[in-house]
Amino acid sequence: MTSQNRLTNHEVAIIGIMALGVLALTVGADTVGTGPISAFTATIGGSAAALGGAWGYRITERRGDYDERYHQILLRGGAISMWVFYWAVAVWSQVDSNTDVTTPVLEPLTWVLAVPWVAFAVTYLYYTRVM
Amino acid sequence: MKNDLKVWRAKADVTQAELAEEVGVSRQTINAIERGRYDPSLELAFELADYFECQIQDIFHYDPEE
Repeated sequence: MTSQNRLTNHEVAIIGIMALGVLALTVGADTVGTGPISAFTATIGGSAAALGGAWGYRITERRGDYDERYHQILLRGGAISMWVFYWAVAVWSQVDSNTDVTTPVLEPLTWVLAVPWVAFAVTYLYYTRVM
Repeated sequence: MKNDLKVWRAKADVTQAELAEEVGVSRQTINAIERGRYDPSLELAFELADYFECQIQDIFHYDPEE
């Protein structure tokens, strides 16, 4: 957001792209059909969400009017959550292949997808207190 | 890195929030710098020195032994 708390056209476009991407990746891929068309919709949606996020980051970075301390905290949160996610996927794949452990309510992958968000939140709370 | 930001702020009689507004960061960031929990970027250090009309090394002190 700008210093006046008003969204620029680029920011509105990014939010739109990411929202459409997530919808395509989830509900869209489930309702559009099955097989290749569903996989294609999910792939396009996931790519749009990822590219939208990267574009948003670049705009924020180049604008340079953010609070640099929070920028550092967010970068650390991003790095640590990615690190935790990588190992969570690695551990889960071993557990899934070698045991009969199941996950409640949601698919195992859905639970693993929640791991980086939790790691990010914990990291954010930690660094806002220690730095 | 140590700093005398709190002293300079007291001499100028400005609050953390007022200083934060002037240099474009949050009050929490000024607070973190004063408490030594966060070392500012060179750009922010210049902004602070400009605001107090002094040199960066008047506010920030680097001790290689630390």
